[in-house]
Parts: sequence; C-alpha cells; structure tokens
Amino acid sequence: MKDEDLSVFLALNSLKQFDGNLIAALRLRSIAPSDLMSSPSLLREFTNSEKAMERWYEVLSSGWHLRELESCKKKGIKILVFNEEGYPSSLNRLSNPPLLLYWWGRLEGIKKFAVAVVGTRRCSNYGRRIAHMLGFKVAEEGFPVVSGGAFGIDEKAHRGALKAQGVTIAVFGTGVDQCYPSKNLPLFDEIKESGALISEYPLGTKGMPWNFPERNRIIAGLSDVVVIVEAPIKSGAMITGRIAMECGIETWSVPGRIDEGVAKGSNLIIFDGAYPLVDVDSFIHLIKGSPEGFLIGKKEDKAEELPPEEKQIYEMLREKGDRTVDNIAGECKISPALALEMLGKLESRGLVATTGPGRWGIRF
Amino acid sequence: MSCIYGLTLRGIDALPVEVEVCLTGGLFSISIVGLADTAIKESRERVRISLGTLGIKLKGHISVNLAPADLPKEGALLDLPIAVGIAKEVGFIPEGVNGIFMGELALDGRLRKVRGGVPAAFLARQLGLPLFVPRGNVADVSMVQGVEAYGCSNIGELFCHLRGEKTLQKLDFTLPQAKEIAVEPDFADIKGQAAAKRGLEIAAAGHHNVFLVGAPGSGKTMLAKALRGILPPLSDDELIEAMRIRSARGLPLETDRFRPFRSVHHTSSAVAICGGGIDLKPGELSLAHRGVLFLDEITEFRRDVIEALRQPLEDGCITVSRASGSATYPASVLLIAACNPCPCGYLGDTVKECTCSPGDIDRYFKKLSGPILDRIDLHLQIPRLTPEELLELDSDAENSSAIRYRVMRARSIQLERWRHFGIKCNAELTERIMKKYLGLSKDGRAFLKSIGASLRLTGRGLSRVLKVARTIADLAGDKAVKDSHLAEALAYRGGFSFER
Repeated sequence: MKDEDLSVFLALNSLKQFDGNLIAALRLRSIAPSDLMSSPSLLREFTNSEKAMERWYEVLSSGWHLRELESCKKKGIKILVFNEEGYPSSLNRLSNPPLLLYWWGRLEGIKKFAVAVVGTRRCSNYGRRIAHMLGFKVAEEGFPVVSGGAFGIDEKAHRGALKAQGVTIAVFGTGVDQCYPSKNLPLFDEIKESGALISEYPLGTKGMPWNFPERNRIIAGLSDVVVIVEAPIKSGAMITGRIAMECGIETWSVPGRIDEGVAKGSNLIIFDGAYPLVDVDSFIHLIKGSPEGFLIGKKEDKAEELPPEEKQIYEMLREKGDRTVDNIAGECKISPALALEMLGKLESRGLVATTGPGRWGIRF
Repeated sequence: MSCIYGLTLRGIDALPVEVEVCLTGGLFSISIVGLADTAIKESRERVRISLGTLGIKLKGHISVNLAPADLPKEGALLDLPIAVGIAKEVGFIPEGVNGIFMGELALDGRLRKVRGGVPAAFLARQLGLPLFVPRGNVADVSMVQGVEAYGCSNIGELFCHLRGEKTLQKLDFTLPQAKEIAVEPDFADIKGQAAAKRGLEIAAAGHHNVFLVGAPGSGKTMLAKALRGILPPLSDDELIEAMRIRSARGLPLETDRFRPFRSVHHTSSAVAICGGGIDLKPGELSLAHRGVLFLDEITEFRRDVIEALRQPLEDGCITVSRASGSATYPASVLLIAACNPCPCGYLGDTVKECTCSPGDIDRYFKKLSGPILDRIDLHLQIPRLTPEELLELDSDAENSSAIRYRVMRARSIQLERWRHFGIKCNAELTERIMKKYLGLSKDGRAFLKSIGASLRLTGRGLSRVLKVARTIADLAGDKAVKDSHLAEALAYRGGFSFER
C-alpha cells in the first residue's frame, strides 16, 4: 500500500475515540482513502461528531498522520490494514474488526492456529501455575499463545510460552510503544524478540479504562481457541470469553473452586457452554486433533515402570500438588533421608523438580 | 642494670620482650624507650604509684629499655615487668629473680586481667621460664601443659613470693571438660525442616560447607545455630588452638567443649573477617577456627569480602600481610552461608508472590562467584511452611545429642579411612584421592552415567555430589558408595531456579 493511503488510515483510526461507528460507516460505503484526501469534508457525511471533524482537520493540517507513520517506520512497527494483505483474516469473524493493527515484532504466527490464555490479574497461585503450564505446553506444540500482557494469568501465560521458546503475542490496550504495566517491560522486550506486541491504538495512547474491554475482542479474534484460566464475574477475561462464544470461537475454561470469587466467572462460563478444561494434556491432544483424544482415565505409562517407593511419591505429588520433604516423608511414612533419595532418583528421571525453596512437585 | 622478661602480642603469638632497667643519679624521672605505644608510655604513672603503695620511694633517673628495640610493643601488659624490673634494680627483690611477667597495674597495686594468656603460656613453655600473670588470667594460662605459672592478685603478693617470704601456689593444668549442656536451639525444638536437618547432619559428619536458601522467616538462622549442637566436641588440641585465638583477641574463654559459632553481619569489612589492623589481630574467620562461621545474607556482603574467603576455605589458614609485618592464623571453619531465593525473598513461595524480575535475581546471585560456590558442597533449601503445614507436622523430632552420636561415628570412620592421606574428613577429598579410593560401587557408577546427561552435572558439580555421597555412605556405615547414596546427594546439589 502507498504510504499516503496508509497515513490516511492512521488518521482515520485516530478518530475512533470520538465516533466509534465511523469506521463501520465508511466500510459500508467502501470509501477509498484517496477520496477522503481529495475532499476531506466528505467525512462529514459519515459522522455527527463535531469533535471527530475537528480532530480530522487538525490531523490533516498538522500532518500528525505523516509523523505517526514516520515514527512507526523508525521503530520497525508494521501497520496491518483491514482487508489488505497481511491483515489477520481471523479478525473478520468479529462484528467490528479493528481498522488497522500496529504490529511490533515478528509476523510469524499470524496465520497459525493460535490459543488465547486469559484471566484475572489478581489470581491465585493455582491459577498462576496453570497459566504457566498452559502457556508452556501450548507453545511447545508450536501454537502461538495470545494474551493481554497484564499481571497475573496473562503474564504467566506469556512466560510459559517463552520458556518453551515458542511464539507469544501480547495485545495491548495502550499504544504499542507504551509499557503497561511498566514492571513487565523486560517481559515485553522478550516477547518482541520471538513474538509480537500489537495494538489498534495510536502510538503513545495511555491506558484508558475503556480501551481494555475493546482490546479483548482482538485477543479473541486472533485466536482459534480461547482459554479462561481464572476470572471473577466482572473481568476482562469474561468479556474475551463472551465475545469468543458469540463469534463461535472454541472457548475453554479452567474449573476453579466454587466458593472463591476469583473463579466465579470462569466457572459460570462453563455453565454457559464453554468446555471445562480438566486436564492440560488432554486439552492439548484435543486441540491438536490427535487420534488418542481425551487422556484422563487412560493408562499413564510414566509412573507404571517406576520402582514402588518412587511410584508412591510420584503419585502422591501428582495427586496432592507440591509438597515439602517433611510432608512427603510424613505421608508416605518413610524417613526424610529416604524421601530425599527417592526425589533425587525421580529428578534424575526428569519427573519431579523443585518448585520453590525446599518444595517438590511433578514436572510437566 | 637489671633485666627480666615481659612479652608483647603479635597476632596469636606472644613475643618475648627483655625489660632492662637502669638507675642513674639525678632528679627523679622515668623514660621508656623501645618502640613502646602510648599505653606503655603512660605506664610510668601506674608503676610509680603502685610501687609507692609498697613503700618503695623512687629516686634518680630511671631508664627502661624494651628489647628488641625494633619490635613495636603495645598494651598495658608490660606494666608488671617494668615494675618488677625497677624493684629489682632498687634491690627490693633479689638479684637472681627471673621469669616472664605480664599484667596491667592499678594505682592501688592490684593486677588487672590482660589479653593473651594462652599465647603467653606457650611462650613461657618455650623459654622454660616461670610465668607470672594476674589472677584474672589464671583460667587461660592453666590450659597449657608443662608451664610453671603463678597467678597473683596484687603486686605485693608477687613481691612477697619473689622475696621468698610467702610462696604462691603453682597453677595446675586444667582443661574445660565436655559437659552435657544443651545448645540452644536443640534440633528437637525445630519443627519440620526434616530435609534441612538431614542436610546439616551430613554437613556435620563430613565437615561440608553449607548454603541455606530460603524465604525470610523460614528458619535459616535457627538451623545454622543448631548445627553447633550436633558437631563433635573439641578435642584437647583443637580446644587450645581455638582458645589461643580467643585469648589473643581478649575474648572470654569457653567453659565447655562446644565448637565456636561466629555469626558475622554483612556490613563487616574484609579486615574484620580475615584479620589485620596495625597489631595484626585475628579476624572472625580465625575466631571461628574449628567451629562454624555463619554468613547470613551472604549476597549482601561486599564482593571483595566474599572473594577473600576463597583461599582460607581451601587451605584452612589465612596469611595476613600488612606494612607492620605478616602473620598466619589458623582458619579451618565450617562455613554456613545463607540467603533468600531472590531479593524480595518470596521466589517460589506458596503464599506470597515474588515481585522480582529475572534480572534482579541474576544480579542478586552474581555476588557469588563460581569458585566460592564450588567450595560449598551442600545446598539446602528451606521451605517457608504454611500454617496448615506447620500444624500437620509430627512433633517428635530427634534431639541434637542423638544426631551428634551418629556424626561422631561417621567422623571416626573417615578418620580411620583417610589416615594415610593426611586428611580428616570427606570435605577435604581431592580429585586424585576420590578417583582411586572413593569406593564407588558398580551400580553407583551406572547410576551416575545414567543421570549425567539429564541433569547436566559439571565436573565440579559431580565431585561435590561424590563427596556428599561418601559422607552419606559413612553415616549409614556402608563401605561402598551406592546409587541410593548418590541419589540423596543429588537432592542437595542446589540451583536457584524454581520453575519446572
């Protein structure tokens, strides 16, 4: 696309905050950017917003759109425009796909089968662990992991994917050059290396509260499967899940405890028709379409061949989660020295690992 | 001219100082020469007045020469020899009197305790002279065998003895005995932490250095302190070595046989830890000789301080060189280093979330160089227990003396085995000895081969695992190192990442 046209799209995109229907209206009448450039007042016909018109003239007269394009080029940020080549066609499933996307990073993964892992910022340790595990296993299979770059579930999902050296995409509710939350800057730098940071907002846009729900539709739209790990009833992840279900995108939710607010929403969405994600390995098998299908209840070979003492500890850890040596020795009724010996053997088999100071858990 | 002996301290050694006194006519004055420090220069007042209490009136010019002239001398412990020398010169005590004197004088003639009793006794034994010390120094002086030593509470008592009017009691050789007093905290007082306790037992048995990693409040300091209670009591020789250093530093002596435990704060300087200063005092490292040196928050120490530990940890002694000379101190310690798993302290915690970035954590452990970590065989992780976990625990933990018994048995096995190699415990094993005489069993070798690839052990990591496995086998009383011992040793090899 010509730079001129591209800059007009950038200008139009910046009006979105004043008139949300403008883009749809233009799309309906298939107005070309060159038409608008030749007669800027044409825009009047599509909007009633005075502010949008004001901004439109201001942008054109000040050349903001040209500068924006220039700084994108300088930073290596690509602009993907609706209906043009390179634009992720999966976004077309949305009722209001973004006019354009700022795409900072690699374009790989754009056409691939992608999995969104989303959830609340204030999650439990359990949620954090599952998000990390999901990110890791999904990325290990070669699927890009899409999330929102926030603290909590999002962060862990990204990190899991990075740990598996896979591709992960963070969709921002701010300008793509903003770092929100700022503590995640190192994470975003890492994501940019192998995956991408994307946003529909102009550079420098600060995080306004209404941007984030709007951004969630992109997370859903980019993905073929959406997984909600932990979400209270009122949360961005629930919005992502609802949009996904409305658009017919496969939606999964990790069941949580029913007496904890943090999982109320993610449990509710299961009731509403999302698949309950009861086993990560089975989930991976199912989205891959492997012939084995659902794994739970089928014989697991990992533990079968172990000597009895190791098997006892391994199965205990698998059932009860992470344990200290005290708990392991106590529950298996063996001496701490023997417990450590067995853990050493299990570790050398690659079955367990230390998950915190003095705490052991199974490896996934 | 009269001449008797005093002494001055140089590190943990006492050096003889000849005190020569010469009286010439003229107005009364005392001058002291021979590189004396201010405390000695001021002693003329103490000497004059305390001699006055005995009715000795000094007249004429008194010259005191401290020989050798080029050796700097320090401390008030030369008060007594100067007083005795003057008394001899004026004829108050007989001409033939000789001996080594040490002590600080009070104005009423009493003798005050000084530091360096044990080194002084060694000097007296070496020179074959009787030693006269203040009453307060009796305990340290009597620790050395084969010394003719006397303790006196004031200068009058001493002079009576020297004039043959009333003899002092010769001191008997006595060493503090091993008493069954509980060291606080006892292992039985520590709830849970079975893995850490087991690790400390192995450390005590093989004299391995220990690294404790755990969240704040998980009990690292308590565990480190409890280690003292499971170490074997000091032998006679070790006790005297340790007391010699304490005495030279002027610290009160131990009355039992428990090993020293020195906890050092992370603001300490390299001099405070390694020793030094103008008078070449031994540092914390030497005070912990034959005992435990505990460095809490080791990552907060200055880097040069940590690096300075490398050589003494290897050699068991430290040589301090300064402009005023150099001295070598024994510094054979069991090092316990402790730190948090990350700067905020909550990495891998079950309740609180860690707020550190990977970069923060990297920087935190950067302080610990490879060479230092290579000298620490056991890495123990201390979990912070949740309240539920604490309640779940059984309360019947083993007490320290039961563990100490096993430790001592394992130590005697090692002593016997390594008799001909010039080493005492498994921690001192060299690669060469390990290769030939470790006693690795066939299944052990096969196990090592099978794990080599999956755990990515380095050469040094492997030798640490082997040493620890040897100690585990010794604790179990096994001649051969089996795969089960190696598997347990693997659990102590450490690492700082807690991701699966």
